[in-house]
Amino acid sequence: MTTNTILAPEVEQALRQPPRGMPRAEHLEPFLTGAREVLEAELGVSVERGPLRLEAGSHTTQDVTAIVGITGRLTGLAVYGMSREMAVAVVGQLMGAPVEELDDLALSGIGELGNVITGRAATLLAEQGIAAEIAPPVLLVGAGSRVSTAGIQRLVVPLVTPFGTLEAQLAIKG
Amino acid sequence: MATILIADDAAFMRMRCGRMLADHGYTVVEAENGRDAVAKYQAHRPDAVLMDITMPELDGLGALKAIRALDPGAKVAMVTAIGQQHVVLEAVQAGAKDFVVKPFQPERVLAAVQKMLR
Repeated sequence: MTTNTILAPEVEQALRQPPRGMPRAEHLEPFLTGAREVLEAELGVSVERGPLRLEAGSHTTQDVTAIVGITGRLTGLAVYGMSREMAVAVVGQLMGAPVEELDDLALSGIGELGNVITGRAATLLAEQGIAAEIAPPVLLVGAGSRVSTAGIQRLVVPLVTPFGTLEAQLAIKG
Repeated sequence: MATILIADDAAFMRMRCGRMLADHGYTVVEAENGRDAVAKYQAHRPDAVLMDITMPELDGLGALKAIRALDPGAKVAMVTAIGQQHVVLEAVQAGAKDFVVKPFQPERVLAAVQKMLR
């Protein structure tokens, strides 16, 4: 497994000493670690982290998006988006058999992946003494929906796998 | 053969665990949230339960407590993405027999079921 942290200097500085409304590095790292661990365990492949970026304003979804709400000392959203092709390939890998269409069962597999990644992050946060609870995942199907994170900036993390790139968007404050 | 109740709001997880248990000869009953799990427990009186925690309507910890109130001998293992220590402690104090954290190897779930049935 290779973990590349390709962070622009201004992004790195912003995460170290974030102004109000911007996520903190120590809150985000568990999500990045959790995502890598879960994807590698569930899919049996190596995951590389692409260049991170910070974004403000609403997010426009990809073909398949799982959204997991976070409450507790940290609040916000973890949003996991991917192309339809990647979702089909990921569900096929999880089921151990090829999948041709994204029916409700297949989509629930993508939602569960988001749930498990966020749950793992919550466990890692708890080990740092930061309480965070997670809500059941919500799935959006179809590109082009807008998700507002109500003024919280989003850290966008491309997670590159052999099945495609899963884009994790973390809008968290605490 | 023993009957196992799988309570998880993700149909995919119910299918995944259910298929594995059926392959090992178990009869599987499914519930899609905590409230449904309590109702299915009353209706089927399964030999063991695999219970997710984060579920709508009634979460897994609430369902565990309700099932143990109905049947103090109920054998319930939590199977969840949430591995925080306080959650594990609360589940064990409420009578959970095992705690499996996702992602898991299928053998881990099978071992939890076999342990509960011993």
